[in-house]
Amino acid sequence: MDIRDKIITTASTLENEYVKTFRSKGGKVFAGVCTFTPAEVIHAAGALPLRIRGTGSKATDKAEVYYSPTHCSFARHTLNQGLSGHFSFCDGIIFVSSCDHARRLYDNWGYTDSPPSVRYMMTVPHVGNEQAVIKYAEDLRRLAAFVGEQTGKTVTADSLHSSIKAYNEQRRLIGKLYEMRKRPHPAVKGTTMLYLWQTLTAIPVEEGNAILKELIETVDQNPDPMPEGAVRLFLASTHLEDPERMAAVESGRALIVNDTSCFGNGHFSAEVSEEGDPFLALAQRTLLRPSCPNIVDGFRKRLDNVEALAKEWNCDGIVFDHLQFCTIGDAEAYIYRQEFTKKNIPYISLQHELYGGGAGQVKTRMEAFTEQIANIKRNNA
Amino acid sequence: MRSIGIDIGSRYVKAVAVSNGGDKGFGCVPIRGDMKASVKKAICEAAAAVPSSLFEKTKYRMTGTGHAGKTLYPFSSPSQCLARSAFEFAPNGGIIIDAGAMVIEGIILSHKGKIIDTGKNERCSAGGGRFIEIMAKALGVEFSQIDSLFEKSSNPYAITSGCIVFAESEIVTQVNAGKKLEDIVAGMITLIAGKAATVCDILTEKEERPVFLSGGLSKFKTLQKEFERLSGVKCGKLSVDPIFTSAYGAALIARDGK
Amino acid sequence: MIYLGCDVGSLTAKAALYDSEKNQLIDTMLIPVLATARASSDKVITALLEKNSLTASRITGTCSTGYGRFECSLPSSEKSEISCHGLGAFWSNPKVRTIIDIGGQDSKAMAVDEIGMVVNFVMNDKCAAGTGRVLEVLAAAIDCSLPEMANAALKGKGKVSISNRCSVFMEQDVLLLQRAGHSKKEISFAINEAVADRVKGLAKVVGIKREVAISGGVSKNPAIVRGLERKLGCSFVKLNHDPQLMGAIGAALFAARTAEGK
Repeated sequence: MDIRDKIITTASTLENEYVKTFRSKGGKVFAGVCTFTPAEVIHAAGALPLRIRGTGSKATDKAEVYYSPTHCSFARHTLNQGLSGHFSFCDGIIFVSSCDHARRLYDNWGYTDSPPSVRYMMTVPHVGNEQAVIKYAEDLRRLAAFVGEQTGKTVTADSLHSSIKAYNEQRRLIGKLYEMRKRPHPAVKGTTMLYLWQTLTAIPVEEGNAILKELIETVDQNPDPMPEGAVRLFLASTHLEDPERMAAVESGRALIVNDTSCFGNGHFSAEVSEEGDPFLALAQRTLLRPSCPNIVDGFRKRLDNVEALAKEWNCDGIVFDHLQFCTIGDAEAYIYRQEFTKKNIPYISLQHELYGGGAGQVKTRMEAFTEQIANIKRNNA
Repeated sequence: MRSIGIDIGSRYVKAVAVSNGGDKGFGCVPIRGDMKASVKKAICEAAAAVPSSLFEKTKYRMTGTGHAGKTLYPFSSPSQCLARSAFEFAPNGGIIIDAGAMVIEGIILSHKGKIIDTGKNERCSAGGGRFIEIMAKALGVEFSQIDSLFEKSSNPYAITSGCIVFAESEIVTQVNAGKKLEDIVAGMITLIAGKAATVCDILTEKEERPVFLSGGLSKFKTLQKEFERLSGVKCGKLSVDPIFTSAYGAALIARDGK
Repeated sequence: MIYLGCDVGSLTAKAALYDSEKNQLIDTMLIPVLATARASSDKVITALLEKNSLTASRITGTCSTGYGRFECSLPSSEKSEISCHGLGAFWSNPKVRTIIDIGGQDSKAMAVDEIGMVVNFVMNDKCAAGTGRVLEVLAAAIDCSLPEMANAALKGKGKVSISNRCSVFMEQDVLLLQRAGHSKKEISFAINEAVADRVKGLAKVVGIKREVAISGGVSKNPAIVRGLERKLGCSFVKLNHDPQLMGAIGAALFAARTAEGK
């Protein structure tokens, strides 16, 4: 079996074979909603960190008793899965105050007493300054104490350093893969990467690193097929988890070669310092790197980062694909349009529901976008 | 003594005539152009089954959302009429979910016939009878075929578009892609039943009471069955055709003064 | 050389025959869509060829566009409807630099360069209220044909407005206005204003560069055209061919460009 098939199979369900094996050996699984819950903290407590997604969710009827249909579909689908008992294999779940829709997940989960019964609300920062780093480090210490209590394994500076090393290795391997996407024929396309991220965030880091090594070796010789006349694009996105959606975005000649998605490089980028106080190091890395739109004073840094990465990866245009009804995403998309128009960088803004709908419309837009880019390039030649 | 309730909806006028002796008459007329003429016709149809003597004055009561401010008769709100009607078949109180042309609305009725609380599906129109009308037309399917098509389906298609217009093009795309008609019809019915079930869940969260499904959409047997499956409740029986529940309530209010 | 363009949309299928030596349109055809895109493209192409006593073997190249572009009954290249509408409108009037297209189920605005190639575009995918479909639904609600509603709207003074943007709730508002005794011309005016408002927003995002043209089926609605011109503060230039056929014409032109290496 090609390693890519293994990755797709593992990504297709949250309670995958690795999770089952981990649990059968007495291990505990802690689900997290957001990139602001560092996996290292959970790993250091001896648990398996699992990034929540709506994989397998077909409807949001149950969730719409507690959320309006005009609320974020990530929140709705996740709650719907929760209400249906799909996370009962988890021993705990960590919520965040990243945005209002996500914050309500904690309230609704508790109100409906959906499994798992062990729930923790982590306050996350909304600014990226030094005071916020210190506060965030304190919150991480509290999180570590909580998870350690649940697993019976106290998180120490040493154990956290050890976890950080393991995850840094993963980041370096991912970095290597991204470097291979700079090639004229990129080693992996966006759709494969999305399956990979979903796998990596749902299996032990050690197993993830082994998969990454095998993948790097495979795609070095046998890269993902590339469309003829491929148009290299950068995906600036918030939450995008449906591989079918990604495939629709990559239809025709469109090829995603780098991204800042929160279920993507936005989550994995930047290593954590392996020196000094590990909680402070984690807080610094998460807050001081280019952030997600949840960080209110980070816009300029995000914009510059997107532009710089798009240039470095030789991208012809930028795609911003965010969740419908996400006000943070809407505002970001609007300002991106103003800024990239000023810089004459081809840009398109799309919206999606977490799952389903509108594939035909997306394909039309992406085709037109790649045609537009070809026209601009010819005019500038 | 004869009382007549008139429910002016967005597209139809429904009228119910009741006598003190319990006779009932019904009239349902589409509104075309002159609303007053349609109202008159519906009243005549209903009154024909409940004759009254020359010396008795008929009492009237009006309700509905399609009257455009023209209160031809004394008016009671649709919720009040629905509640009054429900009280007839749920004298110990209940939850009535009315699935009409535009919205799905639910009310919780106490054992004294008072409205305790209400719930509605969101203001999006992809949750009412109009949605079914438009979809059925796009598929070339008659209302009378919907139940039998649903029963034939083995793989209901989950419609993802919330907007009626985009849902219409979504199902046309699916038909073009070879999806079976019965699967799309089943998906359509499941979508509406799901929205009704959500309203039911919202209300049963607050009070556990017997549930009744009314309104034009509830005439689809498969929709009622899907609703029961998704909400986990068994629906009680109404004592009138579900499209007349509001008009019946209006007639009872006209008769009893409350 | 003869080239064929085919545009299969959600409501209509169009085809165009183009003579590249004379740089002229030979003929066009428009039909309502059939059950499948393939059947629609087959019917419109066959009808157009037969009408002009041509067989498929005489066609040097074919390009298809629209939602049904992958289902063309003849072997063809594909091009987005955005690019085809852009080129078609430009060819029809080379002064055009901005095109507003209002179709059956979507609306879009495009900016083209000096050779008719799209360099910017935006599409309405959030709301069907700015499309031809909503005009159809609302015309039926007031028992009018589309031309009757457009003519009535031209006489309206803006005494009433429709605020609700969902097409089905707009329909309800229209029924209520009718029952409240408002005239057909005022209701028609309100309907057209609501649709024109939606489309104006799109055009502003892409930016207005003269000359501006309007294409798609709804461009035949004089009330929408007048409303949009007023809202955008500019007059639209005429296209020299049927604005509903811009996609098919553009597709035929792309077929020629691809084959002749232009």
